[in-house]
Amino acid sequence: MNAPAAGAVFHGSCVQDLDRLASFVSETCNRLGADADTCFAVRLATEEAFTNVLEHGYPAHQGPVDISIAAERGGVSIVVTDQSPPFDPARAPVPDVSADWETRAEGGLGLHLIRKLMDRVEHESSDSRGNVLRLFKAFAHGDACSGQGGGL
Amino acid sequence: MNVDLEPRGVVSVALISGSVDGLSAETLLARLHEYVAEGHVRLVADFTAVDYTSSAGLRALLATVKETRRHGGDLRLAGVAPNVLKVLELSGFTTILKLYADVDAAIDSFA
Repeated sequence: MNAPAAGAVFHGSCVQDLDRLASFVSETCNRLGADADTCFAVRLATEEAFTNVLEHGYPAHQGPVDISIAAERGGVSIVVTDQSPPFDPARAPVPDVSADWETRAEGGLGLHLIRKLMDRVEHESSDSRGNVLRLFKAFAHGDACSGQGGGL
Repeated sequence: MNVDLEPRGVVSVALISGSVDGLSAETLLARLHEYVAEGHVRLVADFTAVDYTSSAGLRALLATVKETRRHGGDLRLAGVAPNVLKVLELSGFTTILKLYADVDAAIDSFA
């Protein structure tokens, strides 16, 4: 049995780190052999998680956010950790994606997209340890491959 | 991410390329707002060269849709790539925005 591919860790703290985050995701997903659609989903989920912590977790919209990405049994495992006050995703407002253009709110889609794109979403928090968001996305074709298409 | 404007008669085409993320979406929104303020209220956003969008990009599109429609025009999208289209679908944006396969079809829809 092959050993799982080692992951990598990204350290960010402000929205200006998004370019670096995108590069980190691209390089890591390519190294893990993830297909293009999986890479896209991972990039989007990590961006949404990262910006959510900055916008809603830290009063000055900046603070430490660590993101690790590793291979895990047929997919990609992502862990986002921060030191902001405990957050309960179940209490986050759910966007009305059926609202028409006039009444549609312009925000609130980040967590919604994470839940739709990822195959598994788990969250835990504590006053002393901040928040830990664990995500899992299965490879599009069940195992790592390159250059193959597939749905999100 | 780059944005340029190409007038095509009574319709104007916003040529967008690259990734629309939490950083570049602010630039996109500002440029689209400028175009509307200059009177370009019938806008086609050419998404052929857009390889990625996050919810920040969707916010910019929605704000521009609202602004153009309130001025009697619209913002319509052309050439949206499959992964970007999926994001629009998951967010319910395909029922808010009109999408077309290419720029010419989007321009013709204003007739």
